[in-house]
Amino acid sequence: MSEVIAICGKGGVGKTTLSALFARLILERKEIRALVIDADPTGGLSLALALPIKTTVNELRKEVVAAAKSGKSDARNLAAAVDYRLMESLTEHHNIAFLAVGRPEEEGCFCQVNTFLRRSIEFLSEKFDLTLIDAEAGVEQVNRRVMANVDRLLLVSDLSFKGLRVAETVQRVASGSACFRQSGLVLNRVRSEEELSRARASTTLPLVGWLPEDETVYRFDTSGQSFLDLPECSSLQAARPLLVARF
Amino acid sequence: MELFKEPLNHLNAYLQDADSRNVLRQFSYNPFSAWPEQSSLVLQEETAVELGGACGSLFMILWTGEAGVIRPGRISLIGPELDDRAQVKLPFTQVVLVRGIYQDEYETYRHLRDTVFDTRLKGVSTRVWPDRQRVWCRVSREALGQGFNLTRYGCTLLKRLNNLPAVEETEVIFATETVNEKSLLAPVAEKVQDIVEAMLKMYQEMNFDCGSCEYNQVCEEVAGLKEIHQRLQKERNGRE
Repeated sequence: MSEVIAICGKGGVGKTTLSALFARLILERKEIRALVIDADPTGGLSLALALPIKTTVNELRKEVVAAAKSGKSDARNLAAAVDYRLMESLTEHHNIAFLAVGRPEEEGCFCQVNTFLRRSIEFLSEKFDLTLIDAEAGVEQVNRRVMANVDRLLLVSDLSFKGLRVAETVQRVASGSACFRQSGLVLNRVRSEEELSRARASTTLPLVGWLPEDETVYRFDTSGQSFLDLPECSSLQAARPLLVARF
Repeated sequence: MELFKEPLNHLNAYLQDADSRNVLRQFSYNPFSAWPEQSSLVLQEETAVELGGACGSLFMILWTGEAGVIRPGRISLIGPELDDRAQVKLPFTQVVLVRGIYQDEYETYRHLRDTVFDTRLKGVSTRVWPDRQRVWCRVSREALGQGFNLTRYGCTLLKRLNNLPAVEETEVIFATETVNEKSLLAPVAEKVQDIVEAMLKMYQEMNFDCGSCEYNQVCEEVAGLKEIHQRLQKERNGRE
């Protein structure tokens, strides 16, 4: 059965870093096929993994809206076009298929097209063992634009007051929509046991893991090297148990 | 009413030409050769053969009520079969031909199309982009190793179509030939696309102002479309 993991949190806390570490770990597990979705409009995960974006889901949406407006197509043909184009939009790298959502551009209400897109992504996701979503902010964005249900919601935060409060807010909002099964906090850039204990004591969120401040990750991040080429390092070691929780 | 009379004639000529070029192979439908059905997604890394997609493809469904036009149970293949191909990626043409007793052209189109679109093959990913007449298949190494080929694909399609109540005869044409099959079929494809789009527009928009319709000329040429138009207009007037 397919598992869906969404990674949420305040901007700049390390959501994309954790997603990129997971992608790198997926490459180690050749028996797992993963769909990796960059749902952040800035497309940071594509850069972190050095995987080119072919067509974003929002560009695809525009195409389908145009086809719907032309009146030369019916619902089933549009749905088939979405399936076809979605498959074409995947950037594949070994056992990873990468898809970028892109920048949303509202052009009136095309609920049917949005529904086709979400259903197609869900249908596609079912064919993978794991779907990993690097989300923009809250899970409701994932829920509305990418897929209806998430199995594991990982709330990423650094040790800042603001980061932790945003993670708590995301958790609260997400609990209201009841679209995920489990959630937990992942702390990033932890430098000492002391910092970890202090942060843990200052939040109600259950801590499921933490990533250390890591020189190798910093070097890859600043030089623009692909995280898919990341050598074994303390961050990978810390992220491994989080990813393999189910596998 | 015969929507596809002219394209069907062209297809016949195309098959005769392929035969004269010694590139045509024909097989008979065998329901026991149908491939197991199961929804699959094949990644690039698992792919043995890729058909259509970026390599170029053509997809059409045509139907007729006339006897003697369809060669029942025939699977035609122009170009290499999957096990004698030289390349991993091949262009792909898939033409489905059906004879049956039809009351409503749009309903017929929907039934045939949905039956073809819903054909899922174990170890094979298939996608169709109907508005662009494109088809894309990825055959996994596992499926190819287990004996999947285009003849078996054809048998699966025909088996599914033969189960439809109004269908009497079915035929399928595949082309994997690299020498320009798509361009040979281009005039037929264009005509079929115009007819299908005009029909969809009639049912989707219900625009009865022929003067302003971009498909006016197609309807003038294809008698069947005019009949649909008149029937729909009568139905609409009856409701008002």
